[in-house]
Amino acid sequence: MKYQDKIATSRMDRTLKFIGTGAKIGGNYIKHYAKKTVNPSLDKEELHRDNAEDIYSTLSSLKGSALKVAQMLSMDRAVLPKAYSDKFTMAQYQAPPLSAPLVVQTFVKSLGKKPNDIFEEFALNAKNAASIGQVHEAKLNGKKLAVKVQYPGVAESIQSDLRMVKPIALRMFNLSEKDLQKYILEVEGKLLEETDYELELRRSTEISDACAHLDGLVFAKYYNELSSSKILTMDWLEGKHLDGFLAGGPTQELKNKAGQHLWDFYNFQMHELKAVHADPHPGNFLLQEDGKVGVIDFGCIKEIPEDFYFDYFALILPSIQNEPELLEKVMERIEMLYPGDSAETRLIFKEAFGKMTRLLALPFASPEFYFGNDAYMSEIYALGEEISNNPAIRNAGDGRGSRHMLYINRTYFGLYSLLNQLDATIKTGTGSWAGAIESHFLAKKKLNHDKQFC
Amino acid sequence: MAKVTSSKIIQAYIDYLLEEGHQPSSVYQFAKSLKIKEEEFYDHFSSFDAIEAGWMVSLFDSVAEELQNDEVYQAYNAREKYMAFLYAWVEKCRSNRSFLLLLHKASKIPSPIPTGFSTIKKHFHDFADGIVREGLDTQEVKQRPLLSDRYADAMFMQFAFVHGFWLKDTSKGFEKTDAAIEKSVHLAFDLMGQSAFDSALELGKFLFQQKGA
Repeated sequence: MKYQDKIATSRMDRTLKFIGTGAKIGGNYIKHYAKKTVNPSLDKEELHRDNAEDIYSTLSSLKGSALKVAQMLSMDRAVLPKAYSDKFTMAQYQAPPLSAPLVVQTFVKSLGKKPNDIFEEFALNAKNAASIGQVHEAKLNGKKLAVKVQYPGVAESIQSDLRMVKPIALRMFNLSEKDLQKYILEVEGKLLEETDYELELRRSTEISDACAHLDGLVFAKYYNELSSSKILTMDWLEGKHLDGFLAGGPTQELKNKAGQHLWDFYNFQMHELKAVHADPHPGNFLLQEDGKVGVIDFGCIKEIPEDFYFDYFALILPSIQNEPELLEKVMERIEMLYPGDSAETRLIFKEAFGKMTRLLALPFASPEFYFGNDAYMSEIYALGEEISNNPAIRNAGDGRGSRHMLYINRTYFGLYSLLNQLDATIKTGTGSWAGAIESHFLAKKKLNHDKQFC
Repeated sequence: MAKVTSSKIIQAYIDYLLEEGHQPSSVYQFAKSLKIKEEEFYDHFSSFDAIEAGWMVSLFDSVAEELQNDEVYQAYNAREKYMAFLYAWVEKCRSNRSFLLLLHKASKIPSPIPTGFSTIKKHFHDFADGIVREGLDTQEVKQRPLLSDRYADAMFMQFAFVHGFWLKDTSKGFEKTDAAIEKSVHLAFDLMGQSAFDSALELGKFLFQQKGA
């Protein structure tokens, strides 16, 4: 059994690790350009691969927040070259377990009792590891339960980790300090929320209540009296993770069904709840034999501000895309364009973001969409790479896009990639929400228009 | 008048120290405040320092006894048993933190070994020997000439380190101490178990023998 004995603990230790990576990336660039002078046809892919390997090996030897940052990056594939994202996907499910005595100690500290004094049965060996905790199987009143236990001191190390991820991120994404700060604050807030199991308990209860009427979803019941800020007890959900589900050779119909449940779940959260489970990586869903989807881990919930909601979804509607003036205004509000941009910069960003949103909105443009189409996914990666390699965009040095986009984009990338792996055809299209957004914008425009003629 | 018990004297002494911040000026004065005769005090303890020592020993014994009665503990391997001991120890110390901090501050000689620890050394040794023996049986701990006999000494130093760490820990719920225990015990057992060091030694021995052949 592998324990967490090799995790860098002290800040000093972690700093050294990160500095090591920063230096290595620099080294890889030098290597790349040295090779390139000899062999001009050398592609950038190799350089990216080298960098990804170094960053990955650094991040994966850390735990907690750093692992989460790796997960986060692995999700945001469109920003990352393919070589990075492949490596980062491996960063999931890898945290080594807490020792049994520490699990007992955590119980004693936060619930005042040992696990075997609370449950009829409690497996001291963890069933699954999550990035900030691990899941144990327990039994109470004959009922199978899942008990999540958090690593000690996670919240503190998140803050110090993020401070150290910064230099790497600055280098990777070529952002100014100030612009990076905007995103880091968003990520930090969300990561710290994830360490608060009491908050997670409240939210999961709220969301599962609100989504109870949706077809094909299974939520666990959470037990308040058996939970604390470090321990979360819920019903054990049956089902398999995506790879296990696919290994069982499900029929196309079943895959479509499971995929549709996921799609509907996200549609409802985005447009009705305006709060969304923003962590759609395969580890957070359990697929059951009848195509039902069990949703676990409500640690990461993104609440969508009203203004941002209208702006974001307006971008994907053809009716708005066809109104250049309006589109530009919306892009400005969502911080894709800045008022101070030169006409040239404005054009470059307008085009780049326009292309990207049209591509990402493709599933909404038709009543049905086949996500298994790898060509579509590679087109997204290719465009992401094209944008991130565009010198005009790279050198702009400012962060484009509202901070809220970070988690919403991540959610859609995650969802698309899940559906792609499921090879599913989904009834997509736009729902009644499209009309609401259209009337929100076009009515206003009409109003302004009318005013001018008064 | 009811006879005074050792535990009553200990409790009165702790209360006094916590409230006054220093030892009573004399046994006479302390006995008087307890409404007992001075010689009655000596029936139980020879000095104030002996009270402190006695208290530490009883603290240690109560932790060891609790563990012995714990079914889960019995199922642990040596590494986990030692970890469980340290967790139980700091948990026990939690409710006496003020007193322990006071003892620590009052110690006259600065030492890496926390005050009062010398008195429980023998008790700890017996306990640690048990764990080491079990570790040897299960191959978790490797038998090494000369070194094996000193394992318990090394564990005592590590125990003192954890206690000292806890005394200085200011993190919420002493979370950092938990991490320190987890990591230092893994290190200790990795060192005591079969490790790269042994393989290096084996190789050295082998190469040396080749020379002779």
